[in-house]
Amino acid sequence: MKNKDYSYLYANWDDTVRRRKITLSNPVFVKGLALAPVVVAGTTVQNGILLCIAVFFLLTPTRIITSLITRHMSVPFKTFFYPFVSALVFAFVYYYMYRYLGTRVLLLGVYLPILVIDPLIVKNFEKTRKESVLYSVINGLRNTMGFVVACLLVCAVREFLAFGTIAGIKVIGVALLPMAQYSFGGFLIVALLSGIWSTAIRNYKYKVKVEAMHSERLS
Amino acid sequence: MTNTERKNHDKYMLWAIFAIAFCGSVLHGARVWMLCGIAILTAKAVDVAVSMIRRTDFDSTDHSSELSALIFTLMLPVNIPVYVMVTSIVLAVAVGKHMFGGRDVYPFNLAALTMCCAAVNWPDKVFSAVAPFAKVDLLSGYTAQATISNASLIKDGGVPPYSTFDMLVGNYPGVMGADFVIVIAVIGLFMIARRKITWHIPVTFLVTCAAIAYLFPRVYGFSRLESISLEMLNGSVFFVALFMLADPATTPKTPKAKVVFGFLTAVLAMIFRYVGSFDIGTCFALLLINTLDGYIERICGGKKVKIELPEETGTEQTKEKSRGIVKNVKLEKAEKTEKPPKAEKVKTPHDAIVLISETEDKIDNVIYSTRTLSIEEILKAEEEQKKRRKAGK
Repeated sequence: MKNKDYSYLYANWDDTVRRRKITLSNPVFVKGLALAPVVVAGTTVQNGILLCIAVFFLLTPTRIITSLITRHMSVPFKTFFYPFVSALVFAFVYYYMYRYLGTRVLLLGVYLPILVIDPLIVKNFEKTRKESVLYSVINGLRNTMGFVVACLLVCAVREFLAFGTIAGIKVIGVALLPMAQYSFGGFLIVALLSGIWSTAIRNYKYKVKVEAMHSERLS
Repeated sequence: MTNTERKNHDKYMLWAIFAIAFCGSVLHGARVWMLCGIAILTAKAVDVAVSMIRRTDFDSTDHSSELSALIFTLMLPVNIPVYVMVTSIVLAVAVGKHMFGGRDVYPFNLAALTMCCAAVNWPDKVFSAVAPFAKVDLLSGYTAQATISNASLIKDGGVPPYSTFDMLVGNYPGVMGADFVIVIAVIGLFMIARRKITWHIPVTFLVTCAAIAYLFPRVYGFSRLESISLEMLNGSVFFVALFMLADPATTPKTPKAKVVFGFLTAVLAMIFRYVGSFDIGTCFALLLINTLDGYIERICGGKKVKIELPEETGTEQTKEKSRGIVKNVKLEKAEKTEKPPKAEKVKTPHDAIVLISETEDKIDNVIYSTRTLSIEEILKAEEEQKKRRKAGK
């Protein structure tokens, strides 16, 4: 990356953070959203994929529909509409997931329907400004991608530590940390990964700052 | 507790642990020493790794990790796989010690945390017991003479078929070091006599455990005194009382608070042993009571601690730490502090790089600069700065 790019990034750091939902403002590792399903239900990669499918079909459509409906509403009304719309969308999502994926959906238990009221889906009601459909689509997909990356990473790490496998494929013959399959182990692993993620973001920000200052000094 | 006292305490504890490990090696063979060595190396490696990651100076005088790792190791059976021990130590030292601030400030007893971590993850491996003089494979730890521990047997309603003398000297299937009650008791008395530990916590803990065993016997068909001997001689009670409860970092400082701490730990430990899922209820009880450590200290009252304030404030205060009462007392003149030595002049280009990078770090408020500057760049930047200053003037 050129020095000019760094100085641009540094000057527009807040926008950069807002746009990069996968890395700089990851919904799970940075914002701490959707922790309940990831920590409790995300024990294997299979469960993680099911969660990702549910979020993919739930997050963006909910956002689009509510942005269309609640364009001219005040915040209290939006608060009511978001969970209502997400519950409606979830009914369709659950029906089709059960139809095509079968009883595997039941592995997630209550943590699939709980997504309806998860801040990851309904947090947007706080925003006071109007949201266009295009913005809803782009931002919804970014958030979904951020969740997918984090969820699959956590699930893969937990499955590896708890069972010595990744996506059902045997990697090592020993369970390194069987407690990773429990909720408290999940919290520990999410916390460790969040720490590593935050450190990487801090180092990147520092690098951007230093390079930007250097380019300014040279110019 | 000062650093010197802590260092002295750790040193004595390490010697005591080595004495018990020697007894263990007599009954269980050379694998005891191998596991102890691996435990020490792992704990030290985690300390070094964390100090490297955090970019802080490595404290070579801190032996708390090694001590806790050794205590944990001696509570395991000799057939334990190495990866179980290593993973537990890594997790406990990295998360339980360093994530909470490191030396002397970690809130939970490290050895108890390690033991609980291992018990939750591998209960079948941690709670087995190996008969004395059994053949154990040095590397894999495989043995054909593994059985369930006495504590598990009592928990399941059975009675260990060993005499009291055998249980006193540790001559029965058990763990590597925590079963030598007589040796542990002698070491404990020696440590108390030399004032390396105080009597309050161990004695209160043991007396309360014995009292509960007497009042509420759980082995039917035996007298209350026999109940005491069964409960006290099994489940590593003496070992925990001496080595885990005496950790100065996680126990109260005042005698009254220590007595309360020992009593509460004993009550909770016996409850966990009677109705809990695991044999080592003592470790879980200790972790739970560690969360109340500060509160116990506060409600039981603390020593008056003098806090010396700087000269400008004009007062010296004594603070009753436990109740938060602060009294103003007459000021005694504080000694004048010496002036800091002047910074040395920059002589070589290397010094210039160090100086500039340190200055940049201070300005940017970071520990370490990720970018390396070349000498030419520095000289150019300096010249440009000089020119700007002259132009500004």
